[in-house]
Amino acid sequence: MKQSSSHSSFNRSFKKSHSRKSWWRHFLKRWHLDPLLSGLLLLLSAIGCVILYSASDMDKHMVMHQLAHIGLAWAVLIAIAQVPPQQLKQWAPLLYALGIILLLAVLFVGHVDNGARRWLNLGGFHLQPSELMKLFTPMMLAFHFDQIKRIPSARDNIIACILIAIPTVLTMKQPDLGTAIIIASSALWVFFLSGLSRRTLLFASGASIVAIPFSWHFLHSYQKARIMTFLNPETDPLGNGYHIIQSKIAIGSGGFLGKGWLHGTQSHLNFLPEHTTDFIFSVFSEEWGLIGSILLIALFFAIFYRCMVTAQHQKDHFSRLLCAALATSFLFAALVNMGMVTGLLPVVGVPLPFISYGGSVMLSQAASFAMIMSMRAHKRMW
Amino acid sequence: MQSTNPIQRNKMKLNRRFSQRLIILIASMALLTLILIGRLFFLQVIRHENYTNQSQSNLLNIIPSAPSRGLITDRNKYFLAKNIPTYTLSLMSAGKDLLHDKITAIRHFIPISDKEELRFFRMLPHYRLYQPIPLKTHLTNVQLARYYVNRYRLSGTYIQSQMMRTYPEGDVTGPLIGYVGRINNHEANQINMNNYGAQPVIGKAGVEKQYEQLLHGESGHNELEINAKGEITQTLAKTPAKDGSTLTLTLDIKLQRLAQRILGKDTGAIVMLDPNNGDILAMASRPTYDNNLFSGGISHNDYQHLLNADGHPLFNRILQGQFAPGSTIKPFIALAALDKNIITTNTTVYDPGWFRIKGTKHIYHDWHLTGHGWVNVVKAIKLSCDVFFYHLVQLMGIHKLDDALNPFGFGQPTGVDLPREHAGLLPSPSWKKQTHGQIWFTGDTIETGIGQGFFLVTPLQLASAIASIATHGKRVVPHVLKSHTTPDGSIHLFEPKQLSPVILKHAWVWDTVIKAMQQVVEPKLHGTGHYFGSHRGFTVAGKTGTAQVYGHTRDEDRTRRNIPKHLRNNHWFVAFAPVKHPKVAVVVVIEHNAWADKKAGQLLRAYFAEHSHHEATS
Repeated sequence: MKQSSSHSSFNRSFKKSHSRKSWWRHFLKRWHLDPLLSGLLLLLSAIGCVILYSASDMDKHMVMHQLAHIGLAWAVLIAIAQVPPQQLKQWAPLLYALGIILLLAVLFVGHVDNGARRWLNLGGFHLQPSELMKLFTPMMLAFHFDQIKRIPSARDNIIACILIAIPTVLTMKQPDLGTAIIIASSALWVFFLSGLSRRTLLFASGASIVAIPFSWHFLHSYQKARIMTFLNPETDPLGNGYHIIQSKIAIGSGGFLGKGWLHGTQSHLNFLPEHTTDFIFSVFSEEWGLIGSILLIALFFAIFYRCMVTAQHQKDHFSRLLCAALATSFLFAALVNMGMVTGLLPVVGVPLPFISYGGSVMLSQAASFAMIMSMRAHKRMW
Repeated sequence: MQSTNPIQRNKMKLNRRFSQRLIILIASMALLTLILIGRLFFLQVIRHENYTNQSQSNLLNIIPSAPSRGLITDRNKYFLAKNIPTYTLSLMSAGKDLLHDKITAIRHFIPISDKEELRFFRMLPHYRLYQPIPLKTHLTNVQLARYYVNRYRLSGTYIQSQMMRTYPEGDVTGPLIGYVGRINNHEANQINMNNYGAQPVIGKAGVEKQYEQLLHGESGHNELEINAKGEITQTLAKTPAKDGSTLTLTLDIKLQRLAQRILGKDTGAIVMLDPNNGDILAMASRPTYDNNLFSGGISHNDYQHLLNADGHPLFNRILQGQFAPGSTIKPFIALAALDKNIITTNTTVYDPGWFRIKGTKHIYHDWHLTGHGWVNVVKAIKLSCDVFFYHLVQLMGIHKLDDALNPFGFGQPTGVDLPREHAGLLPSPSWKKQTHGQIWFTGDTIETGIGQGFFLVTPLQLASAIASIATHGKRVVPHVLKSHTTPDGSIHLFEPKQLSPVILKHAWVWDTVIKAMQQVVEPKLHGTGHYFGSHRGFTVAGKTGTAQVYGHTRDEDRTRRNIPKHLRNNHWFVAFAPVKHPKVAVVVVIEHNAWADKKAGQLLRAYFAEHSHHEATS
């Protein structure tokens, strides 16, 4: 008697959960969303809000803003996910050209903020064209390599180089070294994946090592100072080195288990600079320790890996190139940010995707995942 | 199934290459991720302790809190040293132009001299950003009020309060109380600097130096949590400072003031003590200095001025001034001579006004040109007959003379609880051999016998020795501390140190010598101390002394001969009263001028006027 009732209740609950699961599965499928990837991204955004609450010193207002950013980002994501990859491929050259025009516009009529000219003021809406170029450049490159449909020749490679160089240089001129690096790298992944010969790769890496001393002259004095500081932060502990020293103290003092949520002294007492944006990982690492940091990194890697698997299954060359490049770009940005705050890399101003406070970056990241989801959803259709 | 279609072949090649590259890309990203995790492991596990320390030192600021320095009072709880708050206007360190503007703004309300501004900008490089730098010290009440009224206009300015030492009696007690000042390197090596973090001020002279440990107390500290701007976010722990003890001195401020007034414009010293327990009731030294000058940090010019002033005001003559004792030494010699049967009360000597050692040509004069005729020991003390004592000390010899004077503490520091006491000098043949490389002559003995030659005493030594006569040989170390009261209110009495007493075989010898000393102040008996004046109501025993500064007759002082002031004789008067149950012993020394006896008389009369009144009322 007892047994049968428990059995029936089990059945009922199973059925109920099954029906609910199928309901949202159906919703996701209808809107071309990858359930696993969506779940991972939502988890990352949620973690981001929890960290931001502590990093902003319990500023609910700021967290609400970030939630609004997330909402907007998901709206954009769902919208773009409906666009089939074929369409994206067709638009790639157009978008790339538009992006270049906007970048040029920024150089001449851009909005100056903090000594850098990065924004276009479009009637109350601030547009950062370099963020768009994070997407449009790899799209253009993927388009380029898709069109030639062969192992690229030297000429193809040179054209690709020029396609990368234009937005990179324009972004560096703003100046925004961090974004320029992300743009260049996102395009480079396409370059790498599209089949450069091993010889060319060796030659290119050799050439770039030679180019490093020359590129020094193209950097702004503050960028040079940042790099010098990175090489030896202790020479200027109260000036340029201050940020990185304080960040290392925050992370190091977090230890294995961390100081606990809302209990990070380095951030709450303002020793950490930029603790809601570029240095937010230091806040997290101080409060959640090595364990928390590894789990967060694992989450980043899982998202990346999921996208790489998607790329592997793509039949279309443009799709798989773009998919892999955007995924790598995402993880690369995260690694550069974390490498930067742990003192492995110079401070170049790359935010931590989905965690750092800010709308523009969130939108461009959402857009890139929207494209990936669209490719995954549409692959059977063509 | 070899496909020959070049497009197909290309596509396959591309596919293969893409798959390969994708795996390489995933692998390299995994590698980079592992490097990052390795870095985190390094920071958070291997270097964790180091960074934890740095994080702690980032947010922890330990601010020492100063104990309040102990107060000093006289025996009747009259304040001799107090603490008063002073206020300093400080400006937060910032850019130079901004600071110039701020100083201009402050000038509308509070005058800032160019000198203060100059000093401020000289100190600027020594401070960190956002640290307050003192601009104007010792604000008056009016300036303070003006500041607070206009405070809203003066951002980045602060008022810091500090306790400053103040001495209500100023130059009356200057050399006795001493002063405080900033710790110098030498002192820093001797003290625990942790105890001086909040207020690096230490006693430099007098009681302030002697009882530094009691007065200073123990420094406390507050552990504060600060943020990156240096603002205090919370107090983590508090260790309150332990204030210093309040010292009660044996000094009687009324007598001290009187003693200073009696000295007047003369250079000299007066010390008065209780022979029964060694309490120093008054110790005046002229010229003196106002120790308040040192409290706010004395200027270089003022200090040089004090150092080089006539008569050396920084010098406490009571324990640092070394003078030839002159005839004040005679009662001590008489005591030993009578006790050891070298003479009796009936031994007489004829004084023709001069003395010559047999076989030599040198003539030693008596202070009285025509001599005193037949003189016994009582008369010799009363009249201060030199010739009698020339004969006596020749008979005794230097060894017996030293044996007579040693037990009274001559040539040794008294051990008073004040710093930098001098020992005086009781000469002996071995001392002369060592320092001068010469043998001892009988002439040296003769000179020592009337308190001249090499013989040097401090006024305190002489006072202590006279106190021993007053108490028939009792010896107590003179002292200025009566008791100290710790902040919790418990009183610790100072235990005066007893020394081995001077023991005479014949007790009547004390009375004989004291009787002779009583006659010294009797004008009817032609005593040398007859300027002492009236001693109605109390009995007194005394002895005059004249110490030659330069070789000329010793009765010069009451002549009208024109002798330069600094070559004139020093005059002594030592006394104790009442004779039966002595309450006070007094030593007066006046440099290059007479009237020591008169001044001692004034002081003793005032003392007994006050104390007989007290006894009558109580």
